[in-house]
Amino acid sequence: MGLSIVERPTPEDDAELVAACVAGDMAAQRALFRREYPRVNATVYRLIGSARDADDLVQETFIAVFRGLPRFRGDSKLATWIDRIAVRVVFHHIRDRGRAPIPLDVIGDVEGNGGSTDAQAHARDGLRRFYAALAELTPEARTAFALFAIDGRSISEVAQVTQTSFVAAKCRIWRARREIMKKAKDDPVLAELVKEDR
Amino acid sequence: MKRIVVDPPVSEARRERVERQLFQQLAAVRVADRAEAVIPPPKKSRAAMWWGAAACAAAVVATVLFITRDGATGGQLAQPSRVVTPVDSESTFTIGHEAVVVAKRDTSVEWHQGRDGSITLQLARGAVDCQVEPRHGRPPFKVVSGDITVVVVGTRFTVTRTPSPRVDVAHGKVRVEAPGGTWFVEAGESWTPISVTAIEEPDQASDPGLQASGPAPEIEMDPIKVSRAKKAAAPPAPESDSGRSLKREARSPSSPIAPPETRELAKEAYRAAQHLENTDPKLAAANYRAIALGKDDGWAATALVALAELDLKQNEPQAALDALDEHARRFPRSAMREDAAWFRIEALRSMGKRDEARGAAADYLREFPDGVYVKPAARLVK
Repeated sequence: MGLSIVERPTPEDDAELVAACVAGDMAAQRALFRREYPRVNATVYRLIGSARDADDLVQETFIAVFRGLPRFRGDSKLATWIDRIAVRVVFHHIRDRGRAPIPLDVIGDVEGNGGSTDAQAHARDGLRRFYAALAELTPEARTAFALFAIDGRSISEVAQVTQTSFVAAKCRIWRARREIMKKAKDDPVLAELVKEDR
Repeated sequence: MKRIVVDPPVSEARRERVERQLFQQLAAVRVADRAEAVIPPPKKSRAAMWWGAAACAAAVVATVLFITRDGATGGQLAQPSRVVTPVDSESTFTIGHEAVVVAKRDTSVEWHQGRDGSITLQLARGAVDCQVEPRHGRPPFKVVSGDITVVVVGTRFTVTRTPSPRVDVAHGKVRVEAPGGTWFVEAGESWTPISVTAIEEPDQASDPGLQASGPAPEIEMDPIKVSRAKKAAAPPAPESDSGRSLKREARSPSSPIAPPETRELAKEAYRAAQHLENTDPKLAAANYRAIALGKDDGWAATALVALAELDLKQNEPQAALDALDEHARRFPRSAMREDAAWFRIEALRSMGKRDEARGAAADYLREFPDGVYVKPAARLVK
């Protein structure tokens, strides 16, 4: 749920594609971009919550990917390697921007909101507050928590893409969750968004 | 805590835009890399090595003597030096006592000192932030970025080459020499040639005032102050600060660009309008309207949909609907039909017309059963 890769590429596909991209094959580069774009776009957007910034950061990610491909050794899956780059790019963006105001173009839908316009507006308001609460966290905690709670990754996946240990990733997520829940106590809209499953 | 579901915006137009800009940037980076690659490395031979060693020894002796005589100027280097920074970190270096330079992330810059003491930075890619001593009587300090040369009058500024050329001045003043003219850029101002093409080329055909005064650079920060140091052939402008009047004319939505005559011009104008969306949405909208009146149907249709999207961002749903109506009327078989249909739904929702939005969503589902907006459209219909 959440990730939109239609076809899971095999390592052989990756190796061939990488070799063609490194050789300067523009068609292969475009194929790689089109294959990876939906997932990278989704992850970057979920991490920062702004479509405008997401477009710039996705571009920055792919520039780093294409410049770094000659150094890709194939130790991990290509998708994981690209995700690491994307997360690093977003991390630097968050760190450099500091606690800047949350952009107003945060959009999204919350599960089970009924689909009415009012419910959508309510859900968007909740998301804005959620991203505002995220902005109060350290970049490390924010990145780890967003990957876990919004992008739907497991703790081990979070550890993998943030290049930290499992324990460190778990601690960051736990601390971030504690801070968010603390804020939710005083904010009913946020509380409704992040309420625990029964 | 349950999973927070955030659906990323999915749009073929957005993906195409990102893809186009990405590959343009990659092409620019490749050109810079190729330029670096063709600089032949010095040939190494045993004799040359001995000569080099002897020269180094002589240089060391000369430097020691020089420092002994005047320690204040002993740190300057005469040989070119290159600084290349990785994608994820910056590097700060000093050039004698003349300048402190921060090479931003993913930057390649080479600097050398001329016989006359002048310092030149060659920016192959990325950006540099320079803090330079005021040049009162000192040798010149220049930054060359492709065909753009920035000459320091003083004192702190940033030159960016990739992804797009740009000069930002924090303190003092610099002179920017670029194809088409020379401009002084002062503290608090930015200079970029990006929109020159889009504003300048169509205007030459339609706006005699702008044509007479020559191209205007895009200055993004207020107050707008640009003085033209060259362009002697151009007739005098009606105001003493011709850049200021140029800027006002170029930015006014009442004087948009002329409809582009060719596909290439339309493409350039579209690209410029995209850049303007963040800095000057009104001028961006005017440019999209002009492209929509152009001769290339493909770009005209795309511009109308982009205009609708921009209107939605500006919270002007009625204007967005007008653009979409025009798109539907003029280009019933446009490749942008799907995005246009979704923006219509968004516009109706923004206007509070729930039933009409639901109807438009149902139409969308019928016409694009495998479309990228099926999920949110289906939710609306429910």
